[in-house]
Formats: sequence, structure tokens, C-alpha cells
Amino acid sequence: MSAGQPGVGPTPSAPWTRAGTAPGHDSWTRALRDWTARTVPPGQLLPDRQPAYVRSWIYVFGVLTIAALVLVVASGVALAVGGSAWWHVSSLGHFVNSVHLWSVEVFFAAMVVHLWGMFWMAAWRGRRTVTWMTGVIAFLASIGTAFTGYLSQSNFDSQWISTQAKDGLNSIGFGAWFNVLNPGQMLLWHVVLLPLAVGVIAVLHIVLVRRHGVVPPIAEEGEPS
Amino acid sequence: MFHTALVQAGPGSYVHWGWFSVSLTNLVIVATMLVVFVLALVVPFGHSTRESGTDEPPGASTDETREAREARTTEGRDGP
Repeated sequence: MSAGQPGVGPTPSAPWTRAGTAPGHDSWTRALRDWTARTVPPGQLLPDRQPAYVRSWIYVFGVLTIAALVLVVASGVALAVGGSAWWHVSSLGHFVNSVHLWSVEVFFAAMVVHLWGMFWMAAWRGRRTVTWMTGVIAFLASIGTAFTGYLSQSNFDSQWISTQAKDGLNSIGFGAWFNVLNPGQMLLWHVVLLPLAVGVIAVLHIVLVRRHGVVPPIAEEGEPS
Repeated sequence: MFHTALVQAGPGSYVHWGWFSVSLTNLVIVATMLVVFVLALVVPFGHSTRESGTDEPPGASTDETREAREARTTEGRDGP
């Protein structure tokens, strides 16, 4: 162990070095770094080459979903800065509001086509179960985010949707914690909690795709079931 | 103008099959997505510009065989 190596701390003679710990198990920092390097080895995170079977349009829809998500988040940040009066009244606010809506439409359409492709390809093959499940959770979290977004429009639509949804949510006992008639709570779910969940799960999903590689077609030889 | 907007936002057209009903707009969107899905499966993607000028030694392998090998390498990785 020397100070010249990346990620290695001060020399053992330094007064702040922890004594009596086994090498490799002396900190959560080291453990996290080792896990990260093990999960996504160098060169695997952003590869510039892909297997030949990736040369198909069906593999484009995952990337299209990510691109739409970036646009959704960017336009959502602009809406949060401007506020509801801005997106209801000004021309630029109307435009950004429409960009937010239509990028969500593209996001869901691309995600569903991606889901169809991966489902019929049985994309959970080859130790990709966790990758598949993170995609499922991202899909469900996205539905919740879109739903709270409709409730946060602050117009007649949002009032109508909230009054239609309250009975269903109350009937399953969620109404006390997830009150669709509380616009402040719905807005915070929409702009903080659910986007955070979707973002974290999407990043995890992408890391797992990079870790295990793009799932090959079923007809590909040598693919373990 | 406000009155006109409310009139234009009418109930819309719905398609009914027994117990199932769907708005014509949503039906068109779902049909379009299915068409896009089928097109994504059957339309050729095109060719990479990197196929020429590969960094492989001449005669060593084609892109197909090399990338199939990469695919097999990918399959051998352990899960978390």
C-alpha cells in the first residue's frame, strides 16, 4: 500500500491511519469502490462497440426512452422555476408546458415499445432478472409520476382527475397517506419523490444493462436460458 | 372564446366492443405504437460506417464473428 496508488490513503505511518484492520475491509469507501469496479469494469460503462444483433431498430427504443426522460426532467425543471402562473399565461410558459407533456408522451410510447421488445425477447435470460425487474419498477414509478403530474396541472383537468381517483385510492386504504385532493402533497410527490425514484431506478437499470450486456435474440447460439 | 373552447372539448368519439370501450384517439395511438413496433422488427437498421477500416488484422475476423464473440463474452458475466 502506497500513497501513490489511486484511491489509497496516507501511508501507514501517518497518525490518522486506522490500525488493526485487515487490508480491503477497512472502510466502506473501499468496499463501495471495489463493488463499483466489479459491477461495471472499466470500458464497459460506455462501450463504443456492440454485438452485431444490436443493429436493429428494436434496440433503439431504450435509448429513445432515456433521451425523452432527459427532456422531461429539463422541461420540468423550467416549469418548477417559472411556476403555474407562468405556464398558464405566458407564451413561453405554454411552450415549455407543451414540451413537458409531449416529451412524456414520447417517453411512455418509447418505453412501452421497449417493454414489448424485451418481453417477447425474454430479456430476463442470462442472469438479467434484476435488470428486468428494475425496468418493471421504473415503469410503475413512471406511471405514478405521470399521474401526479396530471394532478399538478392546476386546471379543470387536474380537478376532475383527482375527484375521480380519490374513491379508488380510498377504497384500497391509500387515501390517508396519498391524498389526491391535496394539491401541495401531489406536487411534491411529482417534483421530488417520484422523479428521484424514477431517476435512481433508471440509472440502476442502465448500469445493469451495461453490466450484463444487451440481451441477444432468442435465436442467438450459445445463449443460456 | 372560452365558451368555444369548452364546446370543442366535448366527449369525443368512443369505440365499444361489449364491455370494452376505448376512445378513438387512444385506439389510434395504440395502433400506431403497434405499427412502430412491427416496423422496428422488420425494417433494416442500416450499416455501420466503422465496418470499413476495422482495427482487426486482415482476415482475422469479420464484424459479425467478432461481435458474436463479444456477445458470448457478455453472457459469461456474473450477476450482482
